Amino acid sequence: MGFLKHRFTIASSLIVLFFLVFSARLFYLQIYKGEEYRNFSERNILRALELPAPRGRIFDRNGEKILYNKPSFNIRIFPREVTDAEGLAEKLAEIINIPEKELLKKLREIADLKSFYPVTIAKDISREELLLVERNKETLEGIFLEVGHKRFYPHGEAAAVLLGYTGIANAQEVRTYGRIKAGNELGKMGVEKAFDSELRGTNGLEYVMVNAHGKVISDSVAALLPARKSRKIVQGKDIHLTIDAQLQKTAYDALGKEKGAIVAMDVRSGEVLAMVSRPSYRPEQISRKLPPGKKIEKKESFSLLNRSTQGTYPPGSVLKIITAFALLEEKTADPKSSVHCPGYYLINNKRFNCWREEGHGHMDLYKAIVESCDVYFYKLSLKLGVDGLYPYLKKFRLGERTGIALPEKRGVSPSKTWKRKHLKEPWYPGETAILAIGQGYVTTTPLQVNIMTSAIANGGLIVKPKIRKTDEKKSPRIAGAGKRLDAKSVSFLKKALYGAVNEHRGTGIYARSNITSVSGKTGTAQVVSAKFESTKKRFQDHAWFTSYAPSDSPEISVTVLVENGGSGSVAAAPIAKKIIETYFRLKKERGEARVAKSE
Amino acid sequence: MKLELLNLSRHSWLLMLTVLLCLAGLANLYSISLLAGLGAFKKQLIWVLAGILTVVVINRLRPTTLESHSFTFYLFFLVLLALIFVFGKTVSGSRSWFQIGPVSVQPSEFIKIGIIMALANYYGNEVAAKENYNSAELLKPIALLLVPTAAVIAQPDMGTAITILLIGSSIILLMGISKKALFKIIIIALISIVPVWHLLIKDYQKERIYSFLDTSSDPFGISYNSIQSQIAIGSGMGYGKGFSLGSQSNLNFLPAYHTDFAFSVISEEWGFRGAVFILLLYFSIILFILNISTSLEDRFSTIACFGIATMFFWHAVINIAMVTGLMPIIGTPLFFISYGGSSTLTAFIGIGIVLCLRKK
Repeated sequence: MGFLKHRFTIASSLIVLFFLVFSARLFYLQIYKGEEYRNFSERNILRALELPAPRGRIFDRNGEKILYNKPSFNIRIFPREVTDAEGLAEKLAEIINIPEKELLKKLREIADLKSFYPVTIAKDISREELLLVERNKETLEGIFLEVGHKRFYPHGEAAAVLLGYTGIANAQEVRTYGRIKAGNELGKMGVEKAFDSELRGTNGLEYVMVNAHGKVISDSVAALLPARKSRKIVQGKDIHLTIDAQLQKTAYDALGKEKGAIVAMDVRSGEVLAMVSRPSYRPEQISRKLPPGKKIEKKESFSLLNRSTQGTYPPGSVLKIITAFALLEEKTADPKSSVHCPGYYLINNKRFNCWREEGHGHMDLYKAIVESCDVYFYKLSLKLGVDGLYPYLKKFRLGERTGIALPEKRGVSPSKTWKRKHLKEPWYPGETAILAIGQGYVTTTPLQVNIMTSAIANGGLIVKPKIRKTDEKKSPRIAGAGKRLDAKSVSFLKKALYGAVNEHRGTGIYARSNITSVSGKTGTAQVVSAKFESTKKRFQDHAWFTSYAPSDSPEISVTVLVENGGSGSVAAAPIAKKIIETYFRLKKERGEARVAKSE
Repeated sequence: MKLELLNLSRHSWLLMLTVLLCLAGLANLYSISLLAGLGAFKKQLIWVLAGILTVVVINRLRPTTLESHSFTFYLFFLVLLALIFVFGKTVSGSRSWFQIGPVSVQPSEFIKIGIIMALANYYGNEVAAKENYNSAELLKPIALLLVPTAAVIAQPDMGTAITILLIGSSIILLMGISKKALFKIIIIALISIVPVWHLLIKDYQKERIYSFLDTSSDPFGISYNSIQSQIAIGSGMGYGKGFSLGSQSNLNFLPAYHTDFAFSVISEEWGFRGAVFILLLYFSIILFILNISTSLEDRFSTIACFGIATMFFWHAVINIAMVTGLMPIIGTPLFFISYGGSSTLTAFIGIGIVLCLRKK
């Protein structure tokens, strides 16, 4: 078998030979020509430029643009070229309107990224700044200008909180979202965040060969870069909301200078027609330059919080809708059950006042809702007990997420279990009475109250609120277990809520309208104990009014909350009336316009 | 011939070098995770662990079991290869993959093991040992080689087809070809090219082969990937740019930086010393396998181990020649360094077979 051994020797020699050939080749490329190739790869830097894709536009339900793009100039930088952060920050601070300290912090962060892709350091600079940067480009290492897109909000503050804003992805977000690179823009709040993945689009990619001053040069190697390596910009998808921009604006203006929130919904479909939170902010405060710091947030007239979904408040008397429903369903009361109201009620010798000091006299359930008598609910809720009332808070989904595509707080639906768990205390009977009129531990968001109201209006369906218009038919999506509420109790409540606005002694008379029939319930939620008398604004009651119209075949529900506004009857009901009337006026105008068009 | 260094046996060395190479490959995938994400690294880690398990399992088999089932291996992988045309999924023009849940399987990698086993079985058990074989005796081994090769060409996956041909031919050459037979083979090959081209290969397949061979449609295509790879390697210079600092790979200039061009990334980031170190590891593995092969008494085992050695050899030669610009780009992975489940498992199966057969 000598021949085989011989062939094995040849094979071994071949293996060694190839090893030597490859080592020699590597020596040639890396040692002999290494310097040259290093130059190709570094001194003349091949740059990958990302071309920002315009984000998708946002339309209201009637096709009006409520958020779109305008061109803007941004200052960008290649992180790897920041060698002297201090020097650069000093030079830049002289040119652009950002403090040196802030710039330096930012530049150091950027240098730490060690990214090969450029990062934006200042967005939407002014014309003067643009000229100065252009003129001083030679001394600003690694810096270049980019024509970008800035978000433009035609309705300004009115829709700012709802629509939210975008910002540059931070390190955390880069790690969390797969397709985001440092320096990319993404939705940070509101609708911009909720639908970010669709609005974002795909940034383009372009490879250029640049010299040390950042100028694009043509070079033998640059010429070898094929165009196919670049990537086209794909614009983000447009989003259509259920919001009616005109109604949104009316609602925002209707709040005047007050703090508060308004939610308007189509009760048939769960589509949110307007969602307002005040104070808001001017969108330019955020879109310009750097993302908002904590400093701006503290200002009185500036709030990023969407009070409609993130603000939690005691519901006050609007909760009586649920208490009344529970009393009927649990047969604790029937419409004829009568209670005498002397203006107070004693529980274990403790005095619980009715809001009307002189008392309401004889009340039945209908009158108790219309005139919002507290004593009626104190007394009967004690018979019902918290265990009887709590399931109905759940049924109307108070203290639960509504499932809207926006950040939201849950609020609290208290029960014996809840109190034991969170306060490590037993439940006292007086607390049931307080809960029955929407005080004490219970807190809700304006959106939750609106959904409760819509459920009465639409004949017993708890809808899942929608802010995005979809093609699906008008059938509402039902939240939770999704059973229709009992029709008899619902129709009794409808009658009572109509009375609350239209009866002579109703608490909601200021929402009465000549244009349409309105039903509703007022609420005046105490912020501090009644004994504590103060004229200071921040200790005043929260004013609620939640309503729907037209009373016989409801279309729209409107919930108004005025923080520290005083009485719901005076502070909130007229605002709801204004919005409801605007809704029907707009409907009529648009109907006429459509008719005129088709003729 | 015994080769023992530092009191370690050859197979211990073989295992150690393999693990070392795998670690280098994993570190490299980790270094480009800035760009590609950790997905490839994590998957490759799973493949390596699965591979080591495979080695343990094969090592525990009796060598005779392996030998008696060698032809079954071949048939099994051949059937898989045929099923590609029914169930396979097409990736960038080639129908080479099965999708099983989250895992993609490429039978054309595994068939290499099948061919090696089938040829070892033929030369080791079916024909008597002699210096050269005549054309009649060569008919079967050539058929064993050409059938799967044709299937891979039809996918079409030229890179894999060429490696398969080289591996099989190396074994056939080692066993010897008579001068007359060699002459006949050359004549038949020349004559058959034309009718095979016209009759057996369908138009769309020709189209794909044309576009593979023809680079004039993209004037820089032939050199673009090659030049980028050479810039990457060359710019690494003596000591490299450092872990995860390769600008060529991180700027996305390097194509397929985690698969076929993984060696370029190593060369860019670790420089000449790193590149030569990997080269040394790789060729040492090949030499150790070859050394085990020559020391075995049994003919089947000798040929099978030799086949495994050629598999590693040709993969290294084609991949490194390709990324250093010594030959045109045909997609061939560098075992243990390039990302890829099927190729990694194939390599581990090869190591497992060598370890098992050495016990004979």
